[in-house]
Amino acid sequence: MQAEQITCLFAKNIRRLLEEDKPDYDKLYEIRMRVGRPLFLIYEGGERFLRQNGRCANGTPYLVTRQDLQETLEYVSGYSMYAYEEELRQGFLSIQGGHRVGVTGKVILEGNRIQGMKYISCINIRLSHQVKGCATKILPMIHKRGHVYHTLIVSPPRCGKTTLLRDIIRQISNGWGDIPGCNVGVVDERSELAGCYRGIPQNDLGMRTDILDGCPKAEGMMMLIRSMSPKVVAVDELGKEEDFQAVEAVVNCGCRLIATVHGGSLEDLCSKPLFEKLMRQQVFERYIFLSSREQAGTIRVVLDKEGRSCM
Amino acid sequence: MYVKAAGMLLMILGSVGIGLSLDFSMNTRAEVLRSLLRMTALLKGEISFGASSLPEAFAQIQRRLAMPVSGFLEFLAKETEQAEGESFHIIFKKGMERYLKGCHLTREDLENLEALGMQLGFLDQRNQIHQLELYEQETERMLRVLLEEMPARKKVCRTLGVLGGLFLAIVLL
Repeated sequence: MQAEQITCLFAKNIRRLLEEDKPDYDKLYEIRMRVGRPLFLIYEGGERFLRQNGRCANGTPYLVTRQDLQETLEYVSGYSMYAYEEELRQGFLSIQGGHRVGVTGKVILEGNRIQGMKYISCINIRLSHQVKGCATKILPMIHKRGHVYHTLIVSPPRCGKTTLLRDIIRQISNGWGDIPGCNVGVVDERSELAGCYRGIPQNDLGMRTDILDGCPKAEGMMMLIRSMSPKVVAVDELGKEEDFQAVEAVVNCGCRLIATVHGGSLEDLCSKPLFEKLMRQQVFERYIFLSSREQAGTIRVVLDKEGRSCM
Repeated sequence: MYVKAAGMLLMILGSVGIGLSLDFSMNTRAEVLRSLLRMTALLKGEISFGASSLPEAFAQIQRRLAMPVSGFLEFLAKETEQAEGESFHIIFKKGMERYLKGCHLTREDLENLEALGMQLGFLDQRNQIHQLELYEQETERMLRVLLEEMPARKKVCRTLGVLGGLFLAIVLL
């Protein structure tokens, strides 16, 4: 990951400190700025402060000022906060490189609807890391004789669901081994999979992949089926009732579906009414359960629709 | 005698030239103001329809306009994209100094444009459009006044140019 791509997002003071500190951006997950508090650099194994004088252990932590935050927001938004009104309502902006910038502050309401945000007091820059090849072991388990199983990836947050899904999409699209590639349609509602920036995917999702960026999943799946003739449809984080209705439509028209959902176990999924119906109908043929016990993306178990292990 | 005649001729031509250059500067000012108005209309479209960020909008628009405004926008697009650590207002001002200072725009024209530069980028989309509309109205007014006064001023400039040259020639005879 290019350091300049990250450092140029920050206010001048912080930019200078990051250039002195030289963190390993390939291992860095998040950079958190909170007004009046130290700037945190979060890695897989832990976190540390950004200090005033490089990596010196005795150095005082640099405290983020309101000016730093405002300046950083200017650079992150390309001096155009107005252009991110819709994203701010959802609490994040997607930027070049596929990274996400989460913001918190005082929410402005219009009735019950979030109109916008002001007095932004915290920025969390979540760095996107594509791990090519992380799905290689999984692919034979979700595929048989040119036929991709309807697959659901299940895990708690920050266990690598999206990273795994991204690589599955890429390899199905490009083909792997002697399996030819095929058209994949992706509904990237939160711009996390492709990380599109001005229409250009910042992550590699494969050469036969069509991406609907920032589109609600339910509408997106229907649009893809109608116009892009995908063989496989991929979506991240099923949750709303309309998403499940669209899932039924995708499955009924012959497309294969790969999706992710938050959860810990099959029992967890069964307790959710919307999933319980899909599981009763045995829509999904493979369930991949992830954990972060050893590291993010660890495959705990792969089950078939009967609940038997495929590993 | 021939030298004197040549000198007189050159003086008259020089004076006529001054009159013509004032003529030319009024035309240039009108052209640049029209270009800035087109820029404003295109910016409004980019912001309201495409919700484009400023670097994106400037890059799109600059291709459709002629110099010096296209050069100004190209500079803004490049500098805002690079985000070297300067505020938008400073970048905007630098762009104006580099591309618009020598274009026969009046001080009022430049102040008006600089005021727009101070308002762009923050607040919401609706306010961006509102600021652009305010700038547009003011610039249209100045262009209207210029176009109304232009024929008479041009006539005066040309006439004064010729007469001034002749007067100097006679006085120095």
